[in-house]
Amino acid sequence: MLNYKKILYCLFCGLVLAALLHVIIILVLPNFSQNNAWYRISKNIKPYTFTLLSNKRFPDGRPLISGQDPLFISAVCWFDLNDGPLKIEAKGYAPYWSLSIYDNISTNHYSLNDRNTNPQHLNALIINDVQEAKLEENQTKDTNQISIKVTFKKGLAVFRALRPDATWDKQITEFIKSGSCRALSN
Amino acid sequence: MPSIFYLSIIIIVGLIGSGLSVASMLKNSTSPYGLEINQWRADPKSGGLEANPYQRDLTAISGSLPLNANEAVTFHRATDDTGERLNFRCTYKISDEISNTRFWTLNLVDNQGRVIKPSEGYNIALYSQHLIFDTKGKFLLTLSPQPHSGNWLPIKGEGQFRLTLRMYDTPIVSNSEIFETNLPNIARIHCPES
Repeated sequence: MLNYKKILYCLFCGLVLAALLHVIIILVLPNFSQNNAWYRISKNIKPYTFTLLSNKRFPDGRPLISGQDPLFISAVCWFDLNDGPLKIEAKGYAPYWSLSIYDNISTNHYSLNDRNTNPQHLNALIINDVQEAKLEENQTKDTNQISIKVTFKKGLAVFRALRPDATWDKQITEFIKSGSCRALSN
Repeated sequence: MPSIFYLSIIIIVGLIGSGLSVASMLKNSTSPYGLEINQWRADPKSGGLEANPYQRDLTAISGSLPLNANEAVTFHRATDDTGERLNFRCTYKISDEISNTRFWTLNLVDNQGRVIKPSEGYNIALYSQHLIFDTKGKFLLTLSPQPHSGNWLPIKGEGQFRLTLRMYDTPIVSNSEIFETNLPNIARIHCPES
């Protein structure tokens, strides 16, 4: 004999379990998604090298990273602050450029553009708390350098520059290619 | 009834229920947390630190690297002023102004969000500084498969398309406030049958 009261109670408990699982799945999904930008980039591109995103495609022709502004030339560099603070530099000119720092679930933590700094010289240092404290001890401050403090270790730096039309191709590509991205010793 | 029967009811309802609810929340590509101005839709907080967990999931699943709202706000529009889907056969006039921005870019995407490439020799997107504006700072842009004088964005393809507008260095989305901005109208001029 089925106990309907008990079954109803179980259905209710099932719904509570569903709600709980829903919250857990939604919260952890970005970390486990094998489709996210970090996973795609760290599997296909060398670390500490700005690599042009326009050249990177899946074997079936899809771009590695979707949803980019087609009027831009962009390069990406992936890093792990466990290796040391990250120094990013580039010299050149573009009508507009920007640097964005993402963590390993594609959250854009920080972005700066040509109007926030010397427009012809990108000079930034990505550091975490511990590294910042160390850096302040042995003071050799580069006054032109922008320090960006982050709370994560593994991340992506994306350097984008506007290419208004094809006549700018060479200049913008050279600017992007001048970009360097290296770990300073800890 | 053995307790294993009751336990399995709980587990089955839990698994199916959570699976269905997660899928339905993430299925809609248009986020319910966005901003809409004159049929142009944006989800400006989705890329940055203020993104909610659903927005973070959508970003991770799509494999994109979104611009944060301090850098640019990306708007999408799929319909003309009357609410009809934009179609390659038709000619449209996009008019008025896009205010409160350093510059903007406009390009065509298909229903899956992939950039549509133009015919050989044409630029892949429109850059605001290349437009001709009138003395009041307003513009008139023709979107058409046939050449037009003045500002013209050639379109080539079949079926429906959508527009992506990116406004760079714009204050329209600050921490809590949303500033006024004008976004253009899209009038359908003519639409030959087939």
